Amino acid sequence: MRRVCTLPLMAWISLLVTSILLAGCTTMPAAPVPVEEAAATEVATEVATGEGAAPATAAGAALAPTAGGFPSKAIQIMAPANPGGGWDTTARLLAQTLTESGISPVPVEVFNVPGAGGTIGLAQLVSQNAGDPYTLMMMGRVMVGSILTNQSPVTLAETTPLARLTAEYEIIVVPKDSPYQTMEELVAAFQANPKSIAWAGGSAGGTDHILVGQIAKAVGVAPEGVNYIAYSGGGEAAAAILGGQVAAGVSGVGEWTDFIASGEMRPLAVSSADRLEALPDVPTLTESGVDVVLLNWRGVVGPPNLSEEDKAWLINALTAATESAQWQEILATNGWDNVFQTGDDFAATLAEDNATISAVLKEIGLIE
Amino acid sequence: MRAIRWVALAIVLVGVFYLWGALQIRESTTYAAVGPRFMPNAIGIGIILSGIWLFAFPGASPAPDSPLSVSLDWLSIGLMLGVVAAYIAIFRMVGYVLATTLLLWGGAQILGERRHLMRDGVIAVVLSATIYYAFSQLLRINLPPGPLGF
Amino acid sequence: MFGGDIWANLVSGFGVVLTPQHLFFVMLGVVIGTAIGVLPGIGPSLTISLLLPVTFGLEPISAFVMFGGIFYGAMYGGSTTSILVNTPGESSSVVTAIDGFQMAKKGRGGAALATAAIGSFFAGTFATLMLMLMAPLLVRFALQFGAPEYFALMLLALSAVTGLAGQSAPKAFFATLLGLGLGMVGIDLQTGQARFTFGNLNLLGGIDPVMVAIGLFAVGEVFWAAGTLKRTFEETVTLRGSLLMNREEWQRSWPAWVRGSVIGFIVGVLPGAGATIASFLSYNAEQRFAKGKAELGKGAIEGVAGPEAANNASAGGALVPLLALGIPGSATTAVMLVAFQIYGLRPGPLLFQQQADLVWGLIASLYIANLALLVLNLPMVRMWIKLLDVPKPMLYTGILTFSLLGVYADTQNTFSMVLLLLLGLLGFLLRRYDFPLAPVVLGAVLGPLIEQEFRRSLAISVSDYSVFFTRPLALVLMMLVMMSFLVPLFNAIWKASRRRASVAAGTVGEIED
Repeated sequence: MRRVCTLPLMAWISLLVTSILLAGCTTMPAAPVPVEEAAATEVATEVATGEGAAPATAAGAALAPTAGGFPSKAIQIMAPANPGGGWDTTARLLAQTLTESGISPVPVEVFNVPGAGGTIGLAQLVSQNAGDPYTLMMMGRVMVGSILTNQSPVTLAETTPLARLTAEYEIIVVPKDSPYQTMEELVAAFQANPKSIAWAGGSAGGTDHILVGQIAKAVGVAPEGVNYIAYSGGGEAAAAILGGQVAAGVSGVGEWTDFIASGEMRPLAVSSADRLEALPDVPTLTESGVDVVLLNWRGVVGPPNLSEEDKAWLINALTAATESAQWQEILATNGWDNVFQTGDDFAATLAEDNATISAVLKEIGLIE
Repeated sequence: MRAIRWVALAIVLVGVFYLWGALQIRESTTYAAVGPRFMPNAIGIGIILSGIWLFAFPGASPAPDSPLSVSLDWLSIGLMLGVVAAYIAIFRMVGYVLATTLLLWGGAQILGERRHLMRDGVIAVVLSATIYYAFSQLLRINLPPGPLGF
Repeated sequence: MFGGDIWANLVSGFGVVLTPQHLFFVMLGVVIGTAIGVLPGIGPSLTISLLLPVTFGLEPISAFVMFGGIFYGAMYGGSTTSILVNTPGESSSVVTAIDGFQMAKKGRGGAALATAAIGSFFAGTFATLMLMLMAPLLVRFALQFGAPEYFALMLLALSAVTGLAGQSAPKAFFATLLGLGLGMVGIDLQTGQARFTFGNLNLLGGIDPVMVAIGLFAVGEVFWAAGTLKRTFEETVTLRGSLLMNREEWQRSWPAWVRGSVIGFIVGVLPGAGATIASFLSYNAEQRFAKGKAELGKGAIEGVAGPEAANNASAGGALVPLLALGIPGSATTAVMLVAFQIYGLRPGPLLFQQQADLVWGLIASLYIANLALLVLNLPMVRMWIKLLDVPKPMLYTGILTFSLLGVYADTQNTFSMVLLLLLGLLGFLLRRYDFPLAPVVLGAVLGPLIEQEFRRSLAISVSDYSVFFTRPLALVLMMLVMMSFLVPLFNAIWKASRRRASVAAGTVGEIED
């Protein structure tokens, strides 16, 4: 009797397997139900350009494998953060572009290694994937800061920089009922009584925090006076600003576009050198008398010891992806700039940023 | 002295260790009304107090059916610990299916009566292969393939 | 925000969803969701992120109705192993294990599963209805919550430990502090400093409360079984009385469902709270209001009905800020936000105007997903009960295997398996010395939140401690907190003094030990 009763358990497991199988099968291209096909095309055009351009380039663009036969199986991009964050989103959009536009002859997949501003993922990439061209890692300027604050034993110098992809400037906003109409007014209040201005942004030591630190320095406020409130993601910080819980908020430009458009948040300044096309009425920090320019970027690095041949193939693939119509559309929807840079140029940027960020972090007292 | 009083002393030690850990936290120089050490200190002190409290009021003697009065099979616990530790150690080396088969089979033997060697072996192989296929091939979770490719 | 006639929109929403293809995806989502809910450690956020690439080719609506099904299904599925084998697979079903497992031991496991299933259906439907009718209002309410309000809410959730204490107050006190202490490990969000990592890079990311729940309960249970299985043959009664609920259980369940649904939904709407907090707050409410409150902790059906309704309602609540503002309030909604972006959609007020079909289709599908959950799972209760007949050695080893798989899948790191093993040993020791386990999980969930909100409150107010009592909403919550802590304390003192009085009078014998 007992043994018979294991049957339901087995039945359940097979039900589970079948359901996953079904999920897999329904999306395989070899199931041409007319309705689905029409629907799928609709999605593709919606995501891409809305014109026939994307599928046309897709047809002939697949890169041939290298002489060494790379790639012959799926390529994995590690997003060194929880699902849902900026790196994860960028990694998934990149994977989608590489796969759907037909540039990569093999599928490109994303997996997450969360924790510690990406340094856990970085350590894993360096220690476990040396020489393996099938595992790449999404990263960004924020990681340069995390490595310093976390005193990570592994640094980006050990990776193989492949390409810098997107950039986003920062924006400073206040709640819609805020007394501050301009950046000058906010700065004046900040100088008069620094701690009364609670700045909401992402985690300590990240880009948002660094920007506030740079502003404080530029307007002559001591680091001890900076009242920075860290939130664990754009959503929580947005809620604090919308509810008028804090005096000001700092974030990437793209994150709060809708709240700015609907008038729920008032933009005071952007961190670019010139005004942004998307927000022509918002002055730059420099215009407002704060001499700070800050660019936050995201890019892709590979593990250590990649062969020159594999590295070249990957850089070619990333170049093709960023030139595709689909990628241009993604940049436009998210308000990202194209700051494409590859190999050695990218490595130089990394070294430069490392020096700048390390100086700022020392000033604001996060590292010794 | 009753066992629970020793446990209470151990708890005090845990609290002292926790406070020592809290001492290692660097206070940053930026403005923070309450720093990163505040809560850890409070927790550490609380743990010590809870230990003292338990030492003073250990409660009634254990009832015969409470977990405190069960005599334990330490050999099985040790074996179980060993099997799981070995599993983690060889997980990447030998691949998911093989390692998991050993875990399922070994675990069942330790917990069970060591009678159904064959039956458990078959279940272990089938179950670990099913899990590997479902999660690695269909859901695309990276599970270590091992030298044999599965 | 919704514009137009809600009911007409809803009808058109059903029109969108009631096609064989979409129904198939709703069902698929519910089945997958329930399955991963049952498996320890594999939660809805991981599943949806894994399924994202698979859904690239689908219509957005198909993908989203499936995700909705997964979300609700996972919340329900977590209750199954909690009730039957005392091994919760997610932190939001930890509290269910307390009374659920006691019910299963008494042969009422079927009723516990049934009340969880029906409660989940009720709560999910309620939450979807509220989402549809009151989203704009609720969003405004949620934005009133600043750091002091969150702090007070978290304290209120923490006060649930007074009811989880079991026999010994100092043991419960220690268990809570242990959980809070585990929650401190990792990088401090406010200052970026590492705490309690002892130079170990892997600890920088902190210890996931889900891992604490699985380690203490599931893995700890396996070690306990190893130590006792061959000596004490603890016979769980498979079934006593009817398989589903009897009349009394119905009468006791429905008020708990209502309370759990309301609490869960409100907590779900707040970004930064979540399903675990909802379930503990619901348990806290049951301690005060349930008819069978004296029986709580020993197998009261309210202890299952309330929290299980609450965690499902919170899933529906979490969709409010996601859809209305584009603000994700939980790990799962954060992944759903990515899904929206991958389809080139931006959630927020504009979504309702530009993608009315999609939004109303999603809402309609949530109703269907809830119904599907009930239809699929009620008949399955009979099957789940049979899980208890699986030979124990295989059952426990299987749980161990899935627990290890779950934490590895989440982090891709063998260190997390080591940590799980250590937490399992900790759970074993706590069990051995009769410490309650649930407060540890509650502490691990709440520790970082309480601390962050406390520090944020004082930073925003520039060290003015009155901030917790001068804001009306915070004041109300603080008074509830006081009541939660003080009432049981006064009760205890009163009882103790009475007992002392009667001891003095010689009516009762010596107090033991």
